[in-house]
Amino acid sequence: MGILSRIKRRLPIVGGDREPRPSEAWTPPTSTRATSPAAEPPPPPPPPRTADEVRSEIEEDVKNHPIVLYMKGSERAPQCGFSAAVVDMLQQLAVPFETRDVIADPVLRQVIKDYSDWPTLPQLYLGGEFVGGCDIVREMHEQGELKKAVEGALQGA
Amino acid sequence: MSNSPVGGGPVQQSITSKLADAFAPVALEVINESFMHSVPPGSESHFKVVVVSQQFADESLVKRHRMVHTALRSELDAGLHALSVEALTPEQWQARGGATLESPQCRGGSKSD
Repeated sequence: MGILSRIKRRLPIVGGDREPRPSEAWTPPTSTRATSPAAEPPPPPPPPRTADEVRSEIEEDVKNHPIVLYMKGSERAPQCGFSAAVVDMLQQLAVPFETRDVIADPVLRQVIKDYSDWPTLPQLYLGGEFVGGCDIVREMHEQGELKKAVEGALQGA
Repeated sequence: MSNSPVGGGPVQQSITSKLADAFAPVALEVINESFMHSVPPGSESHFKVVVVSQQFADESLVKRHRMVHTALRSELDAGLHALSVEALTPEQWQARGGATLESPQCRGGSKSD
């Protein structure tokens, strides 16, 4: 096994889910790597939004949508069992809901944790209020509370 | 239910002792569920904790979870990947017959971390 593949294998433990702080957010590399002279330079990626910009987006999102789920992956392709479980419960209730994919948006991934003061994902917002993660949503679902909370959020919309 | 020997690795031991100190629990389970996810064998990245304590009485679910997060702040900051929490009062625990819910299987999202 090569060094690289060993390092790659270790990444999930070492890096874990500790998100980069906004100050460490990815920025375009300044060093010029050797590339084929014929190759067109790839278009520069859009600059990362600031934490404040993303915070405002979250505020608008949870205000404008009665049910918002911040999750890993999409509704159709969740990339985490906990996110998939919450999607499944919302689908069982047959209600429309918005999802935001934090894997596709590293800045959102950090900021939503700070915004909610909650260290893990998924995170469910109903009627602008933070409800909890998978464990709490599941417990509410089992008690029949989730349906009531979801209906309340939809009526308040 | 645990996949690890009693006591487990250093992270599991640290989680166990911090929860025991913080909540004086009448029942406490710290389960290393890392084996269910796309991480190397022996990892301590995904945990489920079941804490049964009188301190959770009269507290909302969100508040209970925040209390657990606070107790485990340094583990979370150090890169604990997933933490599933069940925070119950002794009455709830008894009513449930001491059963633990199963956690969902991974869908590969941690590979990209």
